[in-house]
Amino acid sequence: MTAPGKDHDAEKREDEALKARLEKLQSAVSGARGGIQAEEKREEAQMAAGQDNGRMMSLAFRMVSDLVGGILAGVGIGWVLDRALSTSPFLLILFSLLGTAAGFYNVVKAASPPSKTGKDALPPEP
Amino acid sequence: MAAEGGSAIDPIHQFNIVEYGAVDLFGRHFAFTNSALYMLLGVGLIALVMIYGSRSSALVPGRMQTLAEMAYQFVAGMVRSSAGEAGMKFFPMVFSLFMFILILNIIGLIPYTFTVTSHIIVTVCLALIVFLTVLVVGFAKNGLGFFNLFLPSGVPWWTLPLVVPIEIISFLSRPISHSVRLFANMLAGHITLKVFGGFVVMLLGAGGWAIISPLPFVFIVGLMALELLVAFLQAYVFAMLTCMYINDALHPGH
Repeated sequence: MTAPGKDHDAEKREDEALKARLEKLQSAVSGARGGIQAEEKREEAQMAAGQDNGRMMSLAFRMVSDLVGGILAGVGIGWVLDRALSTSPFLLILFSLLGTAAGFYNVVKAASPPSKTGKDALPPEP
Repeated sequence: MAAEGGSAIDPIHQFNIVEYGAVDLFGRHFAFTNSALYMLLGVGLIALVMIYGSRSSALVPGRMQTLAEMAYQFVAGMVRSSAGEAGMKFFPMVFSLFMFILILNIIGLIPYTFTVTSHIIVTVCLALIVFLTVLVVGFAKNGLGFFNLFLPSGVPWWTLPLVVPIEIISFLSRPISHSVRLFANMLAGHITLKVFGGFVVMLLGAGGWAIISPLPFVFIVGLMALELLVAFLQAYVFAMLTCMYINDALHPGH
């Protein structure tokens, strides 16, 4: 930089020009980086939203079939017991009511936040 | 619909079981059907992906290896998060169920193929495998302590005569809801696709109304995307609930 033939002022000007160029490039780089980061963030948010939708949908599938499954199980048990004990139709009525309760109970269990999953699960009882 | 006749418009025709050959052994009729053929196809495809994918085990994975590793990590994460580290003993079962259902659901989406999981006998068998595993593991691990599953803690004692039957019915309803969910979703989705496909054909044959025949076609494209999501979600839900039931078998008592 300190070439003997050059005069001091010209050198300074050149330095300043280089500095300005460096700043411009830096701001351009950070701008591009910010843009990429924003895009990545947006994509992440989109993916999270998609996963959330999937989770919600799977929860909905679970709840509907849990409700129907409870009712079906109750009706089935009542019907079989009625036929076996020839007490028709009382056990069918009783067990279909119990089955409906069980169905709603299933849905409530599915809707309440999991309390004993994974590592913080209760230790097996002795 | 049925009045139109023809297999192209009949939305139930796709679920017909066709026998390719049969043997009669011990007074039973053992048939090799299209259902069995697609099951074999699905198992073969899974085996191909997993064996080919784990063949090289390179540090920088290729396409197949990525696929196999993704499948493994997805299921392993699911088992760890909902059944704990102790549940990893059942990883092979959960992984097999998940891959089997996923592959068969997705194969069934290809036109002119057969959807094995749209038959309730198949899904009931899969659900009963899980149910019986839970029973056996539950009683083997906890003995009679497994009955704690029916005794929720923290309820007043005088409600127990009502709560215990409800808990028992809730437990017995698991294989029903487990199987009906998968079966009903696949059946309904495929019937819907066929019905809208039938609309396209009928509108094309209805003279001037043929102008609006692209409408149901566009709808089918959207439905197809939804069905792809449902095919994955149903496999996921089935495997997820399997993990949760296994967790119940390992740690009964609320």
